[in-house]
Amino acid sequence: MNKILDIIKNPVLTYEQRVLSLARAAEDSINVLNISRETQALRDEGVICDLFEGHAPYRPRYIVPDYEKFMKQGSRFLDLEPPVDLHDAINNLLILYKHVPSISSFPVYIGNIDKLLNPFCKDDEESYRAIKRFLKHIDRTITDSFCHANIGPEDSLAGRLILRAERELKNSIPNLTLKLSEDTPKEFVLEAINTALVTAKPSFANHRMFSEDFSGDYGIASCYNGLNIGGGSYTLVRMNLYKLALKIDDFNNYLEVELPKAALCMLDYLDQRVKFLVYDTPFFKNNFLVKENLININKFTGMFGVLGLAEAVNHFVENSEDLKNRFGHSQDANAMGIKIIEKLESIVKSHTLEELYSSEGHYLLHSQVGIDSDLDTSPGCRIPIGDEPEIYKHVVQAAKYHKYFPSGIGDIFSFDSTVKKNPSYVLDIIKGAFRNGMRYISAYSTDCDVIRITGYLVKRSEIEKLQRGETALRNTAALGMGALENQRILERKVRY
Amino acid sequence: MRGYLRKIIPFSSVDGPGNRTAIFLQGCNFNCLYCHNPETIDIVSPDNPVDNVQFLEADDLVEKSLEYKDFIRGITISGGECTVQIEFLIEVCKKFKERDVEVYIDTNGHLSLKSFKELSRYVDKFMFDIKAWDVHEHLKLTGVGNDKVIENFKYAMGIGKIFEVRTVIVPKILDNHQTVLEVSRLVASFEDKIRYKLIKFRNKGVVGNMKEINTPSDKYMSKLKTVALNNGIEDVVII
Ligand code: SF4
Repeated sequence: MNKILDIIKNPVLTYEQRVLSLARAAEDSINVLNISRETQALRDEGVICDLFEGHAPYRPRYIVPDYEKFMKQGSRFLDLEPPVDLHDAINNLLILYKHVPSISSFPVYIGNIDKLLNPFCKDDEESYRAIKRFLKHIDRTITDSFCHANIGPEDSLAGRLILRAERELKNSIPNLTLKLSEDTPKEFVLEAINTALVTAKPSFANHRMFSEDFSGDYGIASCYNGLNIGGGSYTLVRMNLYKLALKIDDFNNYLEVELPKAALCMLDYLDQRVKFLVYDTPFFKNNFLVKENLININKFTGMFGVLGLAEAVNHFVENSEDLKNRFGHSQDANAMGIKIIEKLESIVKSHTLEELYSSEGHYLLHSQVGIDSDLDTSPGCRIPIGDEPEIYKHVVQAAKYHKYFPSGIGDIFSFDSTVKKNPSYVLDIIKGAFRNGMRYISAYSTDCDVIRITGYLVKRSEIEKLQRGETALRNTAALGMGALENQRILERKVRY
Repeated sequence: MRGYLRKIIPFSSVDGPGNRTAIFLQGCNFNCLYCHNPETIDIVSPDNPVDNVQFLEADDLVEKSLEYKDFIRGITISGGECTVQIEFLIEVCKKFKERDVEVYIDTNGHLSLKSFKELSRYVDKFMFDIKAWDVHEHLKLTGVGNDKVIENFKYAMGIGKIFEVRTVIVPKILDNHQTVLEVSRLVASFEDKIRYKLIKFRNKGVVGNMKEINTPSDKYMSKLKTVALNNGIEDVVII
């Protein structure tokens, strides 16, 4: 009961954050999953972690509604007609967003918003003002940086209005991705890059690669997670590769014995979560998103996350105090990294669970970005901050991991503000990265107020508020503050 | 054939449009008072070995420079002054063009028109320095006159191969106003619209008396910018 009282008395939570924390505490007061002793031990050690999904999953972690369908059909449950003008369209979307569940109770995917709005946009100031208000409304009410909008890959008037508004608003929410294909017009991409150098978004998704992995229809949700439109992911559990490595001295033993053992425990835990949600809760039977076919269980999967690859590898590397031997620098270390991921891929691919309908019964690998409390553990497969090689080596090295992670992996590059004078510099790097197999890339400039923590965005000014002990509107400011302190985000290597 | 290489910067955001691999050849025929890379001036010869310089085949240079081909818009060859090794330079440029690579050259323009014409055949665009308009001033600043510089510049303008022209603005020592005025007039007399970059002198890294000279004020720079704008240049950049 102390925990409940702590939440009630916590001086920095907003009302909304307090209610959500109480709901979580209630959920966590019961234990309904059949967790093995071994798995529980790994959970207690932090090797396996469900990222605060809660003890009794009663809604999918990531939901990617088919908003295009919603625009065409309106909603019986919400009593909405299909929109006839921009104001209707925006209003309908804002209403629906409030009814899309997730772990944080805020929608993690709000649609390819340029496509949704473009049919109603005119090249005038009224459309611009409406879009700007729409984005501001999202920032102030969906107070969670894991809320993600997509634009592209086609150029559109709405896409340009969205970028223009983001440059002016400089908000951290929603997170934004431009789906970038070979056919996306250069001028549009440059506009997106100029926006990213002002306000750290959009990021850039390799449209060809995601389209191949998701047979055409994907959305980018939360940090950078590729998922089927009209579906999503029931759950995400992650394995801390570093914490597991710390218990073992010999790499072969890690690779051949301990890693597979832990992976099987994690798969079992994931299965438990999926099955509870699918069979023991009414979500897929009574939620209106399902009933109105805005989501369909056949398009759902689950995610097997990893983090701390770099530190795991460095743990097994000899003379790891010398940078040239470490992950991201030495060929041997890089080869160990690939071995670990390939091993996991083969374990995950040989495990099936029928309910992972959208991915042929297999979990999708996800390179997890970490949480604020992770100490000395790099996100997913990233090269640690402080160890980054020159950008040309960094991009090529990082790109090698991207093919294994359809449900999300990304690398971040921080550019000096002088690069703003030559945005096609960034464009050439992104294009080259995509040609070399990179799936997802983020760029920002050192003088942005909005900064990319690991996947999500936070405003420096909000973190400062929290540091002064004031309340902050957006929950992720607290995560950002922890990350700045524990993960040296501001020390990311600056590229010229 | 072989030539002298100082260094390669695989990704550069400041040596022309987009991302470029910048290649710095060793040796220069000027000796500018404000040179920021004096270590690149020395011309290598059997009697004058220079540290940190590689002597390599044109093919090898091309190969090395294209290690990150997927990521770059093109290459830019700079120096020192790359045209000092004109034969080597032409061979290298030819090889880049054979591989369909966009070639930019960063030059002070001090070479014979004949050689310059030959080089131009294998170059997409030049980034051209006009350091001073007045010949005496040019002599005082660089150690040589500027007749060839102006002649080559006019030629390159005429065939549409100038990407940008640049002048370093040094208060007190140079008649910056005259140079900016005359260069602008000259550029405006051609059809091509090109950028004029006015570069603020900075005393970091320079040697001798030049250390005493201050960076020109923003006010002074924008006055010069206005001179260029009033004389027919549309794109003037101060850096
Ligand atoms: S031309 Fe350039 S490299 Fe040569 S001396 Fe002048 S500033 Fe230095």
